[in-house]
Amino acid sequence: MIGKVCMILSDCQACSGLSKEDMDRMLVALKCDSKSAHVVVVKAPCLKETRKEIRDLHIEGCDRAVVGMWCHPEQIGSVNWLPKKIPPSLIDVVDLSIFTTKSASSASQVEKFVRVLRASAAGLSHAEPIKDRKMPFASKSVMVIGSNNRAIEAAKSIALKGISTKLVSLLPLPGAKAENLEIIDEAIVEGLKGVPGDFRVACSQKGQKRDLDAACILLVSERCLSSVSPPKGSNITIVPLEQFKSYAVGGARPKGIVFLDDLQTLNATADKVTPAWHMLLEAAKMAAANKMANLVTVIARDVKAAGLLEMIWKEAADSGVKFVRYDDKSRPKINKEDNSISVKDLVLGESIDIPADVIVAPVTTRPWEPIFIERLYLPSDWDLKSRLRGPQRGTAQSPCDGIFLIGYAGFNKLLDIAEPELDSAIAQIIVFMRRGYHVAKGAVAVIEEGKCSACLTCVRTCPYRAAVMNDSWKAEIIPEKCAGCGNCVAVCPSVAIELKNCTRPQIKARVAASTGVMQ
Amino acid sequence: MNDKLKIVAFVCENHAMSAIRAASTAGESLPDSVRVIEVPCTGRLESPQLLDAIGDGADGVAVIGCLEENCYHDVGSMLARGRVNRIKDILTDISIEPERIEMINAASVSGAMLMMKLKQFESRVAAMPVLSLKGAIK
Repeated sequence: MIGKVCMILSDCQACSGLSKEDMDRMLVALKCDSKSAHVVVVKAPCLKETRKEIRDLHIEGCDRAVVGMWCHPEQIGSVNWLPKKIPPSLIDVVDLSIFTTKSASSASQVEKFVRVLRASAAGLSHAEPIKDRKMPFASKSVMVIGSNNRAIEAAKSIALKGISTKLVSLLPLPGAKAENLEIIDEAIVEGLKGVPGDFRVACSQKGQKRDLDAACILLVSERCLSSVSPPKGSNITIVPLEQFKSYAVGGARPKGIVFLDDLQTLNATADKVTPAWHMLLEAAKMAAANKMANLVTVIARDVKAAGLLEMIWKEAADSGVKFVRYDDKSRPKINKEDNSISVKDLVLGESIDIPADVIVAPVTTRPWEPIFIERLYLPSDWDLKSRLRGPQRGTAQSPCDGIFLIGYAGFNKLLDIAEPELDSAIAQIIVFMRRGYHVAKGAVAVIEEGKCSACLTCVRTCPYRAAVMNDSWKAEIIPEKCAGCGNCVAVCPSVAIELKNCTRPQIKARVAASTGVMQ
Repeated sequence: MNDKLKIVAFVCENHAMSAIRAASTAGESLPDSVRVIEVPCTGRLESPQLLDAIGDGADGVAVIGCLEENCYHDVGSMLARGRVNRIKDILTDISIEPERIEMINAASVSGAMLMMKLKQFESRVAAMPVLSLKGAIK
């Protein structure tokens, strides 16, 4: 299918740096050469009138448009300025500023712009419209997972807006009560199924299985995904890091407090440790500064000292916290008799005993829990390194629609980052719930029926686990999960998959147009 | 000579494209011979498309993707590297210089370095004998 392309070009001289003659030359080159394209000249799109003009633009016979301009689309404030008669999937916005060369002559400059616009039009003429799907919500409630104050705060503020909210917490929450708020405390999340608008969450509350439904999920801390149990036969108290503040207020004076990077450290077989450094160091600093115990020690495997963290390490050390590093081969062990932890110090090279009446540790985190890996499109080896990729995703931005990651669930961060993030997530959730439907992208990768040979290559390759085998043993792509990267398209040996927004004819036409072979 | 040089650059729309954008904001510009084709991920490119670009008359093909350990779509640039290496083998077999195709990895902040690598690639391709495949492969 080849459609007719309309070219909308901004003649902003300030941004393009082209003189009026050059601009005319460019228009002539575009008009006379491309027979299928209509060229419309508008003023700079940063003007309000221009945006209105572009929005109402309609040309008989043209069902797709290339918008050429000299600034990045994100620099233009308003979103809805593209031609409204044309579906968004058939509009290509070209930022010509990246092709500007300062030293080049204006003739070669014009030639370059014409080539870029023509290549874009050639690709677009082969594009097909992609339809988005509206999926109404089956469930009407929001689920908040987390046991810290921020989770309670978030759940309360969502419930205050009249949206029914469920709060799943690992720790008992006797005080938290509000209208529209259902509290499921002392519960562990065990499974997650469904699509945005209709999530099914399996929980076990005090040993009893429960099945809960939710339209969207706010994951404040993952620490609800597993339980904590102190080592058997010892007098050592284990305090979850989240509850350390209330423990400190209680006025306890133990002999020695040990802060562990993770409770999994004591488990010799567990290999993955994801410390919550900021929280841990702040708590250790507070304990040492208030002289809560004779000895405050932090036992950690690797010392992550970068940027602000380094300052916090130094502050903690100045207030009297001792640091011990351990090797992964010789993990710290608990001595049950004298309530101490023996650990092989890397610097001294010998084993030392540290008094530990109280062990403070983040409740064992298991972010590599398969349920969330699959949902959140996380890499399968979800470790500390992958965790630090969090900042890439942006504040309160989740890789999966309908699931919002906040605070330590996203990655380790400072409180002043986490708090505005929470506000932003709550606002997003309220908008999401008020809308009442979820828009799934049009199926971006589509498997052609009858061509699939069930080799499972796409299932193995898909980084988002969107390709699955259906009941009739053919591959199928779940459009809600597909991110449109096209990795399955290229690996399919039967050439059965096509990427809707970047098809083979589209790429071919663009290559041909930009190398000068016009078809 | 240099005016006729055509280099097709398949650019991933995530980190590599933001690198080019960052470079253009900083005043660096793409070499004149480079023709940018934006793709969702370099892993989407198939071997025929890469070969077609050479068949259509390109003197060089650059595949610009994210850093491998930091790929936006996790596996894309790794798969693309494999394909580029395979094309290098094919080109060697049909006695075309394998250096005409190159995989370039770029982080979204390393725009200047990307431009430098592209310019080096351009000068290497320019030094090679003229490839007149335009229209030869159907």
